[in-house]
Amino acid sequence: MPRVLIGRLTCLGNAEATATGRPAQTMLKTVQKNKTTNRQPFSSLSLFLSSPPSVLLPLSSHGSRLSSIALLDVSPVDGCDPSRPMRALVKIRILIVEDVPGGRRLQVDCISQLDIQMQSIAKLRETVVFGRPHWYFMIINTLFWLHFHGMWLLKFGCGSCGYPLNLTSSNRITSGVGSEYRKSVKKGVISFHSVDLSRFTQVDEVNCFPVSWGCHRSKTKLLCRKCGIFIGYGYIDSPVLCGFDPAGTSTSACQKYTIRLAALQPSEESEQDSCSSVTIEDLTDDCLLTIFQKLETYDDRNAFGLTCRRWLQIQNTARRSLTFHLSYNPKAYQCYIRLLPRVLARFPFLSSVSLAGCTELPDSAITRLRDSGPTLRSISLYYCSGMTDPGISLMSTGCPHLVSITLYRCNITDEGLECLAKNCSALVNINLSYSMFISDHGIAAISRDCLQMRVLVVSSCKGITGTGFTGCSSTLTYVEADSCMLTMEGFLGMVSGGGLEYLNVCGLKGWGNGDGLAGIGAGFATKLRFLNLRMCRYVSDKSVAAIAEGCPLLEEWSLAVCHEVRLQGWSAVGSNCKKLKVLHVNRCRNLCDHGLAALRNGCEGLEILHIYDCRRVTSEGLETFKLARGGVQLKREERVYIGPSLDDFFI
Amino acid sequence: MSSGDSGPSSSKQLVQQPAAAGRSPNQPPLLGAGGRKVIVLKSGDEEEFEVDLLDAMQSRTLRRAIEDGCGDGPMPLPNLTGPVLAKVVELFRRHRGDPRWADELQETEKEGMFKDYAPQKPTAEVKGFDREFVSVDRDALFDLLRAANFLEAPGLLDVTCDAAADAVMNMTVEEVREYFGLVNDYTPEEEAALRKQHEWAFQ
Repeated sequence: MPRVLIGRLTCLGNAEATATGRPAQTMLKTVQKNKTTNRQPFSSLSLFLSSPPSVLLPLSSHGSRLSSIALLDVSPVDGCDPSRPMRALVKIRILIVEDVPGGRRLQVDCISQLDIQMQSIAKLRETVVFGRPHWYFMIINTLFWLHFHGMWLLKFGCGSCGYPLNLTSSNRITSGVGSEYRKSVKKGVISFHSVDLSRFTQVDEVNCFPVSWGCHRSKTKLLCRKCGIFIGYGYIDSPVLCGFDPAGTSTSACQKYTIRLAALQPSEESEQDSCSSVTIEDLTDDCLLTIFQKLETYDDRNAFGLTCRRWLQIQNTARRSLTFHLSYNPKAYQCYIRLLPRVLARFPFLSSVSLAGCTELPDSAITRLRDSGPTLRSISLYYCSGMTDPGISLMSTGCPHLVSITLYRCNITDEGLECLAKNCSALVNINLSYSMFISDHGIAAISRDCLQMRVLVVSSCKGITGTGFTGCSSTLTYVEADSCMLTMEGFLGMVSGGGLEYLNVCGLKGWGNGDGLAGIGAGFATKLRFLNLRMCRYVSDKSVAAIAEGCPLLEEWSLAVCHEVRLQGWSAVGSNCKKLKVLHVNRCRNLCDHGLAALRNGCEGLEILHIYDCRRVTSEGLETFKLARGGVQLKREERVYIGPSLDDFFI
Repeated sequence: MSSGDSGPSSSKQLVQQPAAAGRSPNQPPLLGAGGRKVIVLKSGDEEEFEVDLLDAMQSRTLRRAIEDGCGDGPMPLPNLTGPVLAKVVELFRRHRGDPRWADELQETEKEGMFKDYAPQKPTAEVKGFDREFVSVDRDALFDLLRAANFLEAPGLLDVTCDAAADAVMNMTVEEVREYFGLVNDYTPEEEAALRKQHEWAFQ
């Protein structure tokens, strides 16, 4: 069985320890601080962890620490040769706390055994303290020492009947550790500043030492409540002479309890106790989190958190998203500003925050988002018209991993946008619709800094001509730029990344005679699958033909209300768009029966045709189409948006 | 891995196959009655249970111990009582190939010890067993939860946590506290403030 030496103690003092793992190092410090005499009964004490070593390995890695070790059992290994080192098996429970990126993880291991080797067994056998072999006593003592340095947690029960006395080493008086400590250890007692008195029968013994110390000292004998064996004394030091002062509240602060070590045995954490009142407090946070995540309703989750602080903590760490409701009451915003920092501080692992619709929320409300920073992935400031550059800039400095942001109708300018692009270079999805004050400079900053950009929505941004897109990343797949002031150069810029699959430019305003859409077909938009040209009234046959040739993967195309597309254009669509599944031709004034026939004879993959109110298509033409292409579904409704919904990208 | 498998690898159900004759001599003696590889778990009250090695691997705690070479003798589990351990062992047996843990095992397994141990979707029978498994009283459920927590067995944890969550469904705060034996450590002001936050408009 592999064993790991975690340390070696010599005479509880002069360490010549070889050590692996951190506990041993801590132990080393302990023993070096305390140079004891050599009058201890054995010359060295080696501590081995017998299994499994994997428990100790994490300790060397960053961020994990030993939280506690509870002593379960001490038993000597029988049949020892007196001339050889004696071994005792000490069963312990090790609790390790590990700080992992998402929080804290507790790792418990219960089956570890500490294998203690003691030299000079012959000497040991001679020494018996209070009816117990000295080694037993020394081990407890050693563990106490280790606990003093924050590594061990011990619980003790009555030595004769095992009744849990709830004595924990953390309640020990440590101020006098040093010479006094050694003195008391020699006497076989240790002191506590508080004990659980419900575990003891108290027998008053009043001793007056009026002469020697000038103080009245009352002493209470503490007996085990279960078996009545003598455990130790409780002292109430009172500065008042004689007993007029009712021994009560004012004096309770200077109490001291001395407990005989030999009357104790290490106990598993109040196991018997838990029989009467079962709790699950010893479960790890991970386990409680699993239970919490299985609760489905809002009320159940709140009830879970309201039970006690630890559970609230679990509820808080489990929360990933926060959505605020819009309010029509201006006073509510004052309340939001005041409470938002508190709510954000309460939930440390938020990944998504939505303030959608909080139209009057000022900048000051969101600066705190900076603090919940690193975990934040998605923010929605939809219709938060109160947001301006300073607020968004400040927020962006703390959220380097932001993936999605919605700034619909926010009052952001190029300056804020540049700041956002610089700080949040991991951005993938941005919605800037109705940002009236941004121009191509801001978009250029995004194209330059956000190299993983996938979805960019700039609908109705009147200041954008599209040139800012020039040189954008090839990851840019979805662009919605309807109702912008796109120019021909801008158009070429938009497709320059080469990865575009979805383009929505409906409602293009007049370009006069210059029709730059032909640029789409110039070889950059070969991956395009969804193209929405609805309401582009000036799109010419030439452009449509170029697109039909240059975008072989096109699946859905809206040419609704494109009055300038004539027979030549429709023929090009029919003969080139082999993969087209859905075509929208509603309200096209210049689609005639011949045009429809061109579509009918081409477009092999067509499944749905949206057609309605095309004045030059006669009912005969339509019937012919139906007869020839029975598999194509004809629909009358006119769709504004086609293809996948981009809202899905903004969670 | 200290106990890599050199046994038959053609069978889908490796565990039910008798071991191959040509085992290497330095393999730990893990063969039980039916020629299966078994380990012995010993509860706190000294009851011993034989469990299939592969079934025991469902528990991360046991897996660590086995990988560290502690699977030869009886493995002491001092904080599990006999009845609890008996139930757990039965669940391990029924959850053989359960994707809740088998997926994880396949990922961590480098040497192909479990390569024939294909994950299977839990059948209706297993689901029924799970329901039966946790239809116990509160104290017993807590014992199982503690065992799941200690053993770090995903399937067991899932089943028991499900039951615990079901139990507190639609309970008031006070009822939850009583059920879990929790002590209210809030001051009245804190509790009021929290309740107010909950009423307040966010989701």
